Amino acid sequence: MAAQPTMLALQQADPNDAAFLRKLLSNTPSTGDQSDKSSLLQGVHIVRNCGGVTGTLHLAAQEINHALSQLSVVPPSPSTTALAQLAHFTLQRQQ
Amino acid sequence: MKTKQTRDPEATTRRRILRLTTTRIKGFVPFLLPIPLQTPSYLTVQRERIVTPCKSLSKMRRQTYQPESISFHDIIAPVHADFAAVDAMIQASLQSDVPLIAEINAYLINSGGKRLRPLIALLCGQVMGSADDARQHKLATAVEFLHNATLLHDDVVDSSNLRRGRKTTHTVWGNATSILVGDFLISRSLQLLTQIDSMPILRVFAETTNLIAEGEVLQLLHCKNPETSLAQYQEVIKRKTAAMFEAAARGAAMIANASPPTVETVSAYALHLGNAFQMIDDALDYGSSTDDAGFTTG
Repeated sequence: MAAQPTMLALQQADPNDAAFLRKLLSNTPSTGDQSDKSSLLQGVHIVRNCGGVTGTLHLAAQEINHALSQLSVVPPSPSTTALAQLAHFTLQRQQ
Repeated sequence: MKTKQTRDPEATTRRRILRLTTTRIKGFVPFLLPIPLQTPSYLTVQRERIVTPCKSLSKMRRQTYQPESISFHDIIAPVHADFAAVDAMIQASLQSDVPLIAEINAYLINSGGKRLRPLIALLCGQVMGSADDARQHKLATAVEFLHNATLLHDDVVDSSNLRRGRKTTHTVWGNATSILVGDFLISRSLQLLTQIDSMPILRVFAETTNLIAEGEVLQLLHCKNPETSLAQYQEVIKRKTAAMFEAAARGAAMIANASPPTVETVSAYALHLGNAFQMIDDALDYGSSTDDAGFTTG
């Protein structure tokens, strides 16, 4: 299924880029040959340029924020702090 | 010292991602951390980061926790001994009379995962003051096995060739073996969960595994559908990823005999964390660098 970065990009993309992304999603290339790889790279480029990655990280940050707000009613302890740190660590995660 | 920090690309990337939590992103609503009435110290730091001029930051950094310097080792620290005990239980529980099962499990389980779900269970149990270590360890181990079973099955369904930089299990041993060993892990986790001897906890995991299975089918239904809505996507990630985070926290709080509202609170924490985890996972699929956010290439 289309992941969130692509969905957000589809909302911002111009008609040509949106059509390209929809076609790519409907018929995901196998990456078996050079033209498939080229299409995928172009799709990734469009998603990133249209703010799909930024928007997804932003929504993830909101989820982290909701998680942290739950901890405000949990008794303070080293483990409570560790849970908050885990939330921030998740947001900072890199490949 | 200051110059050294600005030149460190990793530190720069971390700072820029952290900035996402406190600043406006183009095209999206402004976002600030909501500050509850009873603010714990780590959230107070966040509030001060937003409103306090830089001259106060050095003082705050000396006083309290700084998000920019988090290491996984620090997070584990409060439950370090339990974490090691769970790791030992995982290794012991992988044993089987059938050699291939043990071999594949060792390949999968020791492939470098961080054991986030067991960690959530252990931390939530300790937050609630749980003294029942043996049952908490069994819960944490069962959660890790269930998670790994879903990985085995997922990789077959998605035809994934690599996981954590290594060949996937089905690539090495074939689809049938992967599916069957995944089933073994599910049944081993059920053995552990029944040893906890709590019907309510067993019910939580029965419902959770059902949600995960539905989430996977839902994802399959939306496969190659460019018109999938954000709401549908969020429902899928809640079921296939966040539900297991939630079950880990809920089960641990229940073993600790936490009050029902507290069980709900830590469960909600874990659910939101799981949602964020999957979203970030999906963002990382588009490259470790996020130039459109102004980040440094990783």
